[in-house]
Amino acid sequence: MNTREQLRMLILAVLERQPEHGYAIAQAIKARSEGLLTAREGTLYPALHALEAEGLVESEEREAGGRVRREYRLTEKGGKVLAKARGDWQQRVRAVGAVLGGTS
Amino acid sequence: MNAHQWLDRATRELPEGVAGRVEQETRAHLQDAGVPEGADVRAVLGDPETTNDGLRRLYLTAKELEEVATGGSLRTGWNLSEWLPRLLPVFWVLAFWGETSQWWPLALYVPALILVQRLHSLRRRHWQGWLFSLFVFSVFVPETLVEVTGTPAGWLLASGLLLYSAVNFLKRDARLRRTLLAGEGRA
Repeated sequence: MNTREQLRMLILAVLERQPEHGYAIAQAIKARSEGLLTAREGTLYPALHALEAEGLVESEEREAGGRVRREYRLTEKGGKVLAKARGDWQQRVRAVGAVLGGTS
Repeated sequence: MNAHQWLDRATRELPEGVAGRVEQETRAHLQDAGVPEGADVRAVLGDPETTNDGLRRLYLTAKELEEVATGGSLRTGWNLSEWLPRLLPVFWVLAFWGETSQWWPLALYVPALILVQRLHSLRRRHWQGWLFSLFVFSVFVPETLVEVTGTPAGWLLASGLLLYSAVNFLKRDARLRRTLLAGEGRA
């Protein structure tokens, strides 16, 4: 899984919980990864636009507190793609873990 | 680099609809991040060239969009790129009048031409142009290649060229579709 695919999976995982706008998605990725992963705007929005074009997320402009924000939400198709990506990822982690060996 | 300069570079050569959406999302992002007006935004937004590259993979540039809209550099006042694909079946039937065995390419071409009439006018033009090229290619190129190479490998070469052309066309069509949606504020 390259960096771009990884970002796509992270975005879908964030949106699985609830619809969010771009900045909140970037913050959620940073917070959940304890600062290890960052999604800068430069790569985040092209990735969001691509996901939307593929029908994995959909967006809608919403006004909150006098500010207009484009909110992204996961589609059913996006949920299926996320489930598959998650399964593949866990399989890969188990395989690498088995080769590296554990401390316990 | 302030927000205005960053946006200028990130949306360079992109159509207005795409640039407008990117600007709106970027300014909202900066507002949420609490970046003051006029401050250097690279720490928050990253390299604008990376964004521009990513957006160009997704959308057509303004120049590419104009080429699709006007018929490209070979356009004439006759608007041939619009009419020639539609008149081709008539020319073909007249050219091979009485030789119905030569009409077989039309069995694929005409239904495809009818199907694409439902598309947005720019995508229709794009598809019609490609179907026309495909028709001409399929009828003349494979046999010519077999004659030139003197072996059936000509068919293999023609299939490879056809596949390459189809992949490139479909990628460009997907970029066109996204660009049109962005222009309508639906992407």
